[in-house]
Amino acid sequence: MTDYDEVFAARPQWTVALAALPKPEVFALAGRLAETHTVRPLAVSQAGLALLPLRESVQKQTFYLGELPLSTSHLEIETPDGTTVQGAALIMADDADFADALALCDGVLTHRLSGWEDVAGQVAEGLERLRHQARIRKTMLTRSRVNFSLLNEDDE
Amino acid sequence: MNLVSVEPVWRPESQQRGYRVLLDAMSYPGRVLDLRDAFGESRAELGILACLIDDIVTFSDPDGRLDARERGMLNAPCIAPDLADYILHAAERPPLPDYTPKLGSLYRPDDSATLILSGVEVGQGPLTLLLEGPGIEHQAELRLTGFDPAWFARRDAWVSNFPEGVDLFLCDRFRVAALPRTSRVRQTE
Amino acid sequence: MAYVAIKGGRGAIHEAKNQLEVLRTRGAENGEPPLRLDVIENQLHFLHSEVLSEGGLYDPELASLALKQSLGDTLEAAFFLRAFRSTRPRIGILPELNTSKMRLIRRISAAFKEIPGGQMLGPTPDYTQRLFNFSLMEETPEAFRNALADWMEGLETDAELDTFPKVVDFLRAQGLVEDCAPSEEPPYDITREPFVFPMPRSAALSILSRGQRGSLLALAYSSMRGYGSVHPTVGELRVGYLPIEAPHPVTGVPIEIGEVLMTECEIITGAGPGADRKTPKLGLGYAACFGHNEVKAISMAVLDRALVNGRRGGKLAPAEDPEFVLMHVDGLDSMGFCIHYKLPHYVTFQAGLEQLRAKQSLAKEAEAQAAEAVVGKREVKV
Repeated sequence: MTDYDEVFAARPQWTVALAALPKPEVFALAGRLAETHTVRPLAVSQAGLALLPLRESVQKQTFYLGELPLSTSHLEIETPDGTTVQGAALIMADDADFADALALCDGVLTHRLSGWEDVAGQVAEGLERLRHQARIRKTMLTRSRVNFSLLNEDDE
Repeated sequence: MNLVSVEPVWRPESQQRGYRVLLDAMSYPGRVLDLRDAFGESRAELGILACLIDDIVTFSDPDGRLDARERGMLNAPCIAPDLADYILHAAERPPLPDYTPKLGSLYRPDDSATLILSGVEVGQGPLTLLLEGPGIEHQAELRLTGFDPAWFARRDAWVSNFPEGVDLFLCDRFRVAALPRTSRVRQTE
Repeated sequence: MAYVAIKGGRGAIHEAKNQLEVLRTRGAENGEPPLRLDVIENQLHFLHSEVLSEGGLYDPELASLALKQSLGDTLEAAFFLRAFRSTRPRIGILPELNTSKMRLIRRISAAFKEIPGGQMLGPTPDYTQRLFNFSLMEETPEAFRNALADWMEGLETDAELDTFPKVVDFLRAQGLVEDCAPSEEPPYDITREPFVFPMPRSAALSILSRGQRGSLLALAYSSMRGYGSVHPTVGELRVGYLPIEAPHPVTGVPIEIGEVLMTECEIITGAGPGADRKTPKLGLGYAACFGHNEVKAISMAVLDRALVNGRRGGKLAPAEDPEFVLMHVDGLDSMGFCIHYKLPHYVTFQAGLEQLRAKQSLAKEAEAQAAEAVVGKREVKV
């Protein structure tokens, strides 16, 4: 049972949540949505590289840490009854088609167009995968935390 | 998987083919070339812009020949014609009296504008241009319909101080010819 | 310099490429399976991180492919990534990030015991004795699975990750390090602009960030051993995943678009040259790079500080000379120049031989003449 409130509260994570799922699943989902809605680009979907500027902590200067793959998509989605909405996506991946799929999901879910529950379900699954990853990282930290007071006791 | 269908002008393969055509046009001034191989039924003026423009240059559309979506798809700032790198004009209208596009400078001749004049017909018509210069063996003739002759008089002034100047693409619905700043142009009627 | 075009070597060259494949697949005779990309990323974690960082392109899958295709040669692997990135269009510059939101897996300080947030060792070989675990020679898939399954029992149920304040900010608040206003200088793009000295520090940080690990270590070590003045204490070392955020194209609200495994290190040194004598403050050095690369990060931070010292107090050691450091730490530049020596230099070398023979012949003549003169003198005497 998908917790829709949780999904909508996690809007900033939708892209990475879907990207945490196997790509074929996301493409299949987008394919189903594209059967219902008409999709037109508002910008040329692109795949390429982006520079990553990082502000360092010592002299507070910004430098380029390196490059990341980036794909973008900005779509107009028209529903069967003629409503048009926009959907968009930016993803750290070198795949413009994938960005299109994510943008379609974004538009459908944001505006609760037909098929939105399907998208919400997938987003929820992706969020759970991200949470599992976060739990692993948190466990790494808590289990390897150094307790300095114990060391002192041993010395005495 | 192709979720989104996009017209040929926005596809990299089409733009590469279109670019080769534009290169040929500039290399052989006055030669009339067809862009349908590259862009299908899309307007040549749009194809030329889509080919040449990206987000590090500017363009101008003073006669409103592009719709809002097309302007958006070009993904470049749309600014005033006297400051832009690429300017699309309706060729039937003469240039405004005070109009001077970017002509570049002695040290930066590349910092000049490329004009796209969109008229009725390239290759046939009442206006005849006689061309000489690099890329032309002896002389070439270019006939035009729907191009105000004032453009070519004004061009003469703009290209008089080589290497400063502008480069022109002349197009109709599907075809294109080019006049780089090195071509010497005479009008006959 | 003249290079000879090899006319008759095409077959040999083709065969050389084939033989590389033979080398790579020679285990097939014994049923050896091809390397999977995820195996490289997971089981060769540090090797993978090294290549991610030296390639300058954060694409973990391609970094694995590079290692696979290069048969594990990190210089060649970084080359694959750099060559690939040169074929991709630059479609943007992301908004500036800082590491405050890093999802850490490791965080230590050698300067202080108690730091706000605590010290968490994370995965590290630092405390192992470097003794072989011979059981790994016959590791079974079952043992492999169990090793993970055992640890995965009893995971934290809470997925909320804490963020940790920086030790450097704590030192700054105590007035122990120089304070500085955030710089508005745009960062230098080393992938597009030429190297012209003096280079801004942002260029140096980018160059160091994708510098070759061994080169950086050697130069930093020289400074630690006394060829220079940087004797560092690790103020903070962090390893973790930096979430990458960018504005949603429609709403403008920041969304997460991915994350990057990275290492960040700040080192603390003495005040150094050009310091205020009345209110001395500690010196700092900074490093950040893609991947889990601690030796590299510490080395980078030492060199950052050394270069700052060099700028302020004169270049007293090679590690303090920006041109010496920054021109010699890039793996592609250095490896490329090194291997170019294997290309035929027949014409150049021949010219050199001709010159040598001419000189030898002149020397012989001169010797002969000198001998004749002596004999001549003797004859005269007689």
